[in-house]
Amino acid sequence: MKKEQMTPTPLVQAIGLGSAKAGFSHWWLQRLTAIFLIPLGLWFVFSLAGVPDYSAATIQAWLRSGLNAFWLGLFAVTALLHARLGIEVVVEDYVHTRWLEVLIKTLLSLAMASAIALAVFSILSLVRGA
Amino acid sequence: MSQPQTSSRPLSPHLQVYKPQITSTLSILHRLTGLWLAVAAAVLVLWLYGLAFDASLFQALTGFFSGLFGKVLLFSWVLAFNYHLCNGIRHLFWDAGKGFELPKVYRSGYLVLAASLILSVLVWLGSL
Ligand code: HEM
Repeated sequence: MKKEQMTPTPLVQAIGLGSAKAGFSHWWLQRLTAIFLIPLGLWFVFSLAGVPDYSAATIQAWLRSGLNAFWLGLFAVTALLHARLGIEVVVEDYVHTRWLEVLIKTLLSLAMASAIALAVFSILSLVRGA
Repeated sequence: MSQPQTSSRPLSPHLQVYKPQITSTLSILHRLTGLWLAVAAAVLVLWLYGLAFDASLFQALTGFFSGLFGKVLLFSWVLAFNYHLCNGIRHLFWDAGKGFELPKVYRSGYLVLAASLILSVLVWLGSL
C-alpha cells in the first residue's frame, strides 16, 4: 500500500501540528449535546404524547405549569445545536466543492441561530402570557 | 480539504455501489433519522412561533397534523427519534472504545432496533 493511501495519518506527519482544536470541540459538543438530549428528548416526546389535546389553550396551560417551559426551551436549544453540528458533518462528507460547502454552512448557521432565537423568544412570550 | 477529489484519502462509502448489510443499513439510518429529526425540530419551532404570535399558522399546523397524513408524519418522527436515540447511545459506547467486536456490533444493532420499536409503542400508548 502506498504511504499516502494508509488510513491513519503516520505519526511523523502529525507531530508538531498541535491538537485538532476546532475539530475536537465540534466533535465534543456533538457528543455533549447528544448526552443531554437523552433525558431531554425522552421527556419531550413522552410529555407531548401525554397532553390531553393540542389546542392552543391546552398547550399554553401545559407550558405555564411547573418548569415545562424551561425544559422545553432547553430541549429546543440543545436539539437545534446538535442538529446543526450533525448537518455540518453531513455537508462535509458529501459536498466537495469548497465555496458551496462554505455557503451551505453559512446559511445553516444563520438558519439555526434564527431558529434558536425564535424558539426562545416564543416560549418566553408564551409563559409571560402576552 | 480543498481538493478532496484528487486526494487518495478514503471517502465516505459510495452508497450506490455499496452492498447493503445490517451494519451499513443501521449506520445510514442514523444519518437519515438525524436529518429527518432536524426537519421535525424546524416544525416544532414554527409551531411554538405560531402559538405565540401567529394564530393562523398555529391553526394550519394543528389541522395538518390531526389529519391522517400528519399523524403518519408525527409517528415517523417518534420512530426516528427513538431509533436515533438508541443508536446514538450505541455510538457513544463506540466513542468510548467499547463494543467494537463484530458479534457485539450485530447484537447491539438488533438490540437498538428492538428497543426503538418498544419505546415507540410506549409513546403511542401514552398518547391514547
Ligand atoms: C432530538 C433531536 C435530534 C436531532 C435533530 C439529531 C440530529 C442529528 C444529526 C443531523 C446528526 C448527523 C448525522 C450524521 O453525521 O450522520 C446526528 C448525529 C448524532 N446524533 Fe443526533 N439528533 C437528535 C437527538 C440525538 C439523541 C437523543 C442522541 C442520543 C444519544 C443523539 C446522538 C447522536 C450521535 C452520537 C451522533 C453522531 C453520529 C456519528 O458520529 O456519525 N442524537 N444527530
